[in-house]
Amino acid sequence: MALFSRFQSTHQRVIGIDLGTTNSAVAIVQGQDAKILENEEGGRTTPSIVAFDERDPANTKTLVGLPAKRQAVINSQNTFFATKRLIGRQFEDEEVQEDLTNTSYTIIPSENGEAWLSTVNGLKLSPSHISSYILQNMKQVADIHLSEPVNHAVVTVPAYFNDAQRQATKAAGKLAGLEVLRVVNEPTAAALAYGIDKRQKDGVVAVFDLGGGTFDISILDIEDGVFEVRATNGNTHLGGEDFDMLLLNFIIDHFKTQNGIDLSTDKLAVQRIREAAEKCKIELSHVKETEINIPFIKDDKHIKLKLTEDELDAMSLHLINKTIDPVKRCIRDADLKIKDVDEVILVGGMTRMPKVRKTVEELFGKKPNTSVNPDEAVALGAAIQGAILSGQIKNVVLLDVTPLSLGIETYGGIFSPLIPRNAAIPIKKEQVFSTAVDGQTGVEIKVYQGERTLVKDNKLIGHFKLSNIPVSPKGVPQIGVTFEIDADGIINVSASDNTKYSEDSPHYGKSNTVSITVAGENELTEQEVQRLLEESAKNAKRDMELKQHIENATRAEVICSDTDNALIQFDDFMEQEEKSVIVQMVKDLRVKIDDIRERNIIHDPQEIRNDVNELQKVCLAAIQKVAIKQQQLQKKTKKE
Amino acid sequence: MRIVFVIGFLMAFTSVLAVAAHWAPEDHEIFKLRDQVEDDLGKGATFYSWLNLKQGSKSTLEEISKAYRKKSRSLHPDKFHSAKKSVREIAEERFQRLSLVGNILRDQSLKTRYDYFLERGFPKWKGTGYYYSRFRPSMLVTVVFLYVVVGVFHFITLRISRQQDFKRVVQLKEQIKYGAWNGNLPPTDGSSIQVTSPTNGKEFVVYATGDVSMVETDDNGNTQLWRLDEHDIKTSVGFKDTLFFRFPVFLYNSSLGNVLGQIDTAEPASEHQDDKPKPKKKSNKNKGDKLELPNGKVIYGRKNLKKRK
Repeated sequence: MALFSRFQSTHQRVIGIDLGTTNSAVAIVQGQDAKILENEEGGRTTPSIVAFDERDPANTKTLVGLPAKRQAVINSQNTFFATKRLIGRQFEDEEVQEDLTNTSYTIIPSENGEAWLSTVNGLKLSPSHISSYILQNMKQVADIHLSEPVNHAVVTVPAYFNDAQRQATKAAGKLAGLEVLRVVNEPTAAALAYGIDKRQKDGVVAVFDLGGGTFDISILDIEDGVFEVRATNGNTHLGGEDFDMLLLNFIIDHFKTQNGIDLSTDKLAVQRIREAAEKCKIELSHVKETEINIPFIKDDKHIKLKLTEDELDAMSLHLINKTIDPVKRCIRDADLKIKDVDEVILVGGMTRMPKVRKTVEELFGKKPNTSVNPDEAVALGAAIQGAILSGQIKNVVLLDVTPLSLGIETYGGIFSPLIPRNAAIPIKKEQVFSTAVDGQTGVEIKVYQGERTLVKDNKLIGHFKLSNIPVSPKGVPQIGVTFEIDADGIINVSASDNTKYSEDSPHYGKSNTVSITVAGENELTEQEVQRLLEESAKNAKRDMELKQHIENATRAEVICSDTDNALIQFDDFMEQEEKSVIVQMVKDLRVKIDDIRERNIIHDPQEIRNDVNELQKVCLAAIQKVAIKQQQLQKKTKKE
Repeated sequence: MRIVFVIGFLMAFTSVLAVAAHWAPEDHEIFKLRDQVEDDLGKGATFYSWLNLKQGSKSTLEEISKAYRKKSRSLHPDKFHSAKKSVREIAEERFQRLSLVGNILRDQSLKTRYDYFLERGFPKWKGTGYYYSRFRPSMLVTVVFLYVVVGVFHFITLRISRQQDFKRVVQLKEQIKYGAWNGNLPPTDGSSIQVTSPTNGKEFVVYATGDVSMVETDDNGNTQLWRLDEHDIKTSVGFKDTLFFRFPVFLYNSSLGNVLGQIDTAEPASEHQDDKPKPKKKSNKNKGDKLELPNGKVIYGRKNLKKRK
């Protein structure tokens, strides 16, 4: 019977999602191996970009991933990318203020001071909300692959994320209709993906994770299926985006000195330069020299400049050097010497940059291990953790740590740590509090996370109020407050009255009345979440259809603007007749696009596709003629 | 005087308690964790035994790490993720303890602290703090302890004061004999001499045998002879003389004794005398015989006085 029931029991499906700053991926364990699930476009990763249609006042039409990325240029203010850099942060945070000028979309402070986003139509969105669209998209990818709905997921976060950032990520999962079984640290997940391979030797492994927005370094001890994190460190605001911004500002400055025009206020231009900068950065990881080419950036002005790998290295040296200190601190915290590290694993797209690799090699005195795919390891690891939780994979266990010290504010704003950083989680600690004056019935506790000695330099996690303390002389009540960090790295605080009451006291033998409340909680209420979930379910089908139409329209739109560019560029060489035909075709197509977008008139997707093909054909023919003309012209000039 | 002594003793006793209550926060954590581990795994379980470390405190860091990881693999809450909530909670709490144990044993200074207490014994939680058991006896133990101490004290003082009394009687007798015989040998005719003590004005009769009796005249003009015998004073104190015996008997007599019959704390009655090997130690105050002296005075002598006659 027992045997029978074992055969009957099927493991619940748990997907692993790498919710990255620039790209996200989803994976699942089949059998004993984890594999990446490809998205609709066939990509193994999906850009973490969400776009809203500016002409849709209800903001029901959203684009996620590649389609959103494709239309970014023409809808830059409603296209949200790299919002992970804002998740769980306050608007006033230094890092957010830095990003304000560098983003094409609008960042606003929410009612309780968090960094939120706003569309052109004034729709206010939390970064969690944006992330939920990405998670939903990842869920859909899995649903299609597994031909059944998946409801459980393991989601990764940078190891150095604090409590608020983790909570916000978990909230995003909830909004996406996923039960997030575990929030796993990205480098730890990558180590799982590396170490699960039986061919790898046990030992001390350092994971160097430089992604789109965050940098993490974790040192693990892998032994016989046990992955024990020894220490972790990092910077939640250092990644590929910073390199892009560096290049972006470089290009803008270059243009300014050449033409005297400041492009930084032109959101469209900034978006185009940003894309070119990212492309250039990626190219320079493979070639020594590349050219940035952006035609008609402002009126008839173009951007055209050459950049070498060495120049980029020199430019970004200060960013790369920012990784050195956390690495050294991490090794120190792990009680190890550099030479004790047996393997170094590189994770995150930025580790493809040769200069980064070289820095890592110099730092550890050995060549990094290249057996894991820097873009996929994290999602694979998340899927493995999911399989551990579902019982699908046995004999593997992950012992993770909390990246930041947890403590409370004591007299004079001093931070007094209760749980040190790098303590194994889950962990629980109790601290006894008492009253300072006779008859006091409430005690306030402010909980912080961080490493600085003054609380003002650390992150406020919560503001707890103990109330209903029975009236007694000062110092008599003993309120035990339990601080708990769960396996997700999320903090829970609870209180109980430990006072020893005498038998004649009215409180003797009664259950404890002390209550704890969290002041200024930022989370969405249960009802809000429910409402959002219902809304999204109701609209899901219509959204899917609309989405396809909009994607179609967007593709057509992109072709239209390309054509416009070409018309301007080759104006002199084109025959007037041809030109007017093309202009008319573009005009017709634009009407249809607007129909879909603004007037909710649905055109047959095939019809639009045909139109687009026709336009491309005509255009191509015209441009070929232009090319021939140019060649003749060149020959002529040569002859002369 | 005795009360002062008892209070002083109690104060010394409580100050030991206060000293014992000072532990470092790390110690507190170790004590608490150790209690929790014992609650979970049974009496006598140590951090080392939990991790199956046969070497105990001599285990190396590497051995501890290995053992800790091995244990984690079976106890990690992830292993119980699909189990019932109650099972999951127990697993989670147990793992939280395991990781604290791991932290302590892998931190050199914390391990040293733990090993110190492991070797010398752990204090116990007593509601308000951790105390060593021998510093914190129960009420009953305290009362019994005080009872014994006071009993012994009483015994010693009793003995000292009786020895003093013995010496005083001997001295007094010598002094009176000296006065009666003028420092010479006793009179050869065996007659008794009556003298008046120069120090207190009392009259004494000195016999030729060397015995001395005090002459006391009561209000009716009757005189009594009190033989001075230092051996009447019991220099060796018996159990029944001390508070050990007297205090509980007193309590009994003044409560239940009123109903069930008193216990006699007085010296044993004379009828027991024959059974006793040392009759001279017993008092025979009221057993004197009537005797007419040649001068017409009637005196009541003691039994042994009569015997001697």
